[in-house]
Amino acid sequence: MNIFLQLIKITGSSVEPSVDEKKRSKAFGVIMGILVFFLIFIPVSFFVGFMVYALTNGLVTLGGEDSVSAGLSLMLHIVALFSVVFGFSVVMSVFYFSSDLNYLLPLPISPMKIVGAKLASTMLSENVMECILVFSALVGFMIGYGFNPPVGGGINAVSFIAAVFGVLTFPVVPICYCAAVCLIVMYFSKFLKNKDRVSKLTAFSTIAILIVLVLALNLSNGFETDVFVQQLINNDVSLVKVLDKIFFNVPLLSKAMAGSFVALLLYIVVNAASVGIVLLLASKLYLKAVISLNGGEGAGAKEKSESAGIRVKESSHLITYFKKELKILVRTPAYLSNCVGINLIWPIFIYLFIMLQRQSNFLGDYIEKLQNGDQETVLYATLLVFGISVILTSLNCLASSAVTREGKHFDVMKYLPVDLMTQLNAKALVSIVISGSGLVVYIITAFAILELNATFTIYCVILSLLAVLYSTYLGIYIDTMNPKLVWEDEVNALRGNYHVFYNMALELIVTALVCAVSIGIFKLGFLPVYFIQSLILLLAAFLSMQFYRVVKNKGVRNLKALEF
Amino acid sequence: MIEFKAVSKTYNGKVKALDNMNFTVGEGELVGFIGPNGSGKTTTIKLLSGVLTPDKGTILVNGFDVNKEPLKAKASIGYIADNPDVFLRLKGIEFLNFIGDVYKTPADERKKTIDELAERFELQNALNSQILSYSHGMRQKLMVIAALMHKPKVWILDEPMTGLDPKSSFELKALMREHTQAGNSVFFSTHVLEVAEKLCDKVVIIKKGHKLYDGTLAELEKRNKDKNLEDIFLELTGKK
Repeated sequence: MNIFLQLIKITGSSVEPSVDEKKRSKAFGVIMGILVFFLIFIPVSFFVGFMVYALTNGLVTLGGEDSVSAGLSLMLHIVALFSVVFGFSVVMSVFYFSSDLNYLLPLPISPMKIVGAKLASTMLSENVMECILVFSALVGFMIGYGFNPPVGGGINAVSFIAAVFGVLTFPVVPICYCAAVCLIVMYFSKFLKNKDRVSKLTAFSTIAILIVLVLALNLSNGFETDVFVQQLINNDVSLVKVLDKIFFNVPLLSKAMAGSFVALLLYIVVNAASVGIVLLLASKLYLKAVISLNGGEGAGAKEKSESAGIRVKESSHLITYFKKELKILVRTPAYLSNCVGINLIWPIFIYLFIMLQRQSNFLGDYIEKLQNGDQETVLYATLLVFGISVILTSLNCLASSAVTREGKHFDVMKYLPVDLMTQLNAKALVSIVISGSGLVVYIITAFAILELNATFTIYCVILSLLAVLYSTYLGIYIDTMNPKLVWEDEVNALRGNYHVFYNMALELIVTALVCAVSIGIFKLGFLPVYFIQSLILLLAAFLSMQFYRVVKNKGVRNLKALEF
Repeated sequence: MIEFKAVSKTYNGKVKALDNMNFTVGEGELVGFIGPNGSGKTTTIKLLSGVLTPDKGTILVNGFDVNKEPLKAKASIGYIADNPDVFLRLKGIEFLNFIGDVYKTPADERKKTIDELAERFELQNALNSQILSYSHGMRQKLMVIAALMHKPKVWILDEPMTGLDPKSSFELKALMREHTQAGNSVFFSTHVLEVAEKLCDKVVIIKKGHKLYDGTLAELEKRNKDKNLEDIFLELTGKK
């Protein structure tokens, strides 16, 4: 096999499931894959496609023929921006901190080939979700522009060729950006030659970029589609103007989609040039930077000159295991940002939501009804608390990576004289404390600001905690079925683990059923709201108990049978 | 103290790692477990420590069946795995406290053992640093302290000398001797035949999951006059 293809295979192996993992649960993987596809990918794709369609339709209708692809550009910019935000940690991890480098660097392989292979495997691993989003955006544009009589008709053969190129190559420029910046920064900076510092910096940058993005949308006066479309026609959206310059591939792809052959050629040239620049930088900068790296913050630390005093304290099995889990989560940057820190970013999205509805003041009406005790609104609020609690708990992947995080030392769980259920309970407790405390703070703060009554606040706090409990045990059970124990580093442990999607898909089904049944019962007038609320609370308690029992029986059995 | 009776183990229903294996480790015995790579040494040790479950046979440790009373059996052994890279984000002392809690070692007893062994292995100044900052040898020493903290009667060690400097290796060997002289048992795997030759009362030699020899070194040497353990091992395992 060609050396370059072999390198791609080697460098990509850590994000692929191992042969054992594939064997262990093939049927489960297929079923969950289908659920994830229909419950997460399809709705997200539909949303993205519809947004682009609506914007394109608006642009065409309002006569902005020159800026007809501005809506598509906006969506592609957002996809590219997220690629860059999440791509940095992946590129850093794959290029500089993966363990395969210990074997690759002593071999007589040029740095250009190593970086080329790593670049290709990073793009492949990043491509799935991005392909779906770009595909949806392009389809939305084609419907909005091409099949929208009487004004449409700009779609031609070039558009279809551009669509194929776009779907397949869209991550190239964002990932090349990440690669180029990483190559330059790692060559010149001494401070960043440490895995932990890099992880913390990328996590901080992610939050900073999200805040800048929200502020740059300039939503201080709320959001109105017509005004926004007019701004797009006038090329008056500052965010798009800036992003057009950064992601110069996006306007080219958008113009190619609108039928420009020249733009298509330029798009292909730009992609090829980006890869060329990265490979050129790699040949000059990579080797020197990669051979002078440290493992982590503790790596290479000197022994303290004096013993700082040995503190010995006894704790129960559950508490000592809980403390161990918590310390590892907080001290491992990848876990700190993806499992713990993620719980802190939701206020940014709440701010975005409040700003988006400011014009229609939909939320103001809703809050007023809620404060007045409107029965239907109270029910919606209850269902919202339930749904948000389970979704946010599944999103932080604390539960769905509980066993996966053990990785190569999964054996330790087996040889310690601690009941496996106690160990799983300690892992559950970590998820419950971190997810639950965040949600309780958000609920109490939000309800206090909205001046909602204390009884409803207490009810929602209890409901939220029960939802967290059931979501946690469900996540843990899913992870016991087929944990991903072979991973290069903690970032791969989380990114290569599909259990978070499986968990979320199942949560969505349960939440949708609870909402449908509750609203159905209320609309048909069978039961008063307080009775439906009690039923939801009982259901959450019942689900918590059931999934606790499932983990205790089947989950523990799964771990006992797991030989690694 | 260790009874391994007619134990077989197959991986994925295809690869037979152990086939009807029998051996015992009595009180006061220091037994070396030797065999070529892939012979089934680590599988045997993982079965003894409860990490793996046998297809057939019975494993008794201190009178407890590892499969029927796993927690009691595990609590009665001191186990050192072949890889010391465990919980690297914990500080050394945090790891020892964690293990102390797991084995329910009283605080005063725990502190006494940590003080004594940390000094013996020259690790006292590193205990307040994260394990991530330790060298391989330091990690191995920490695992040794952790495994011995609850004063187990039976020690089960998988390649315990790997990565240790000469002084620490000497200390560990001395500890193993002291332990068996007090009437306890030590069972350890090794590739270093000189260590087995100098240290062990008995050796168990295996190849491809089958036991080739189980007995004292004196008897083995008596059977193979004018040959050292290396020659005997190479002949038994068909390498010579």
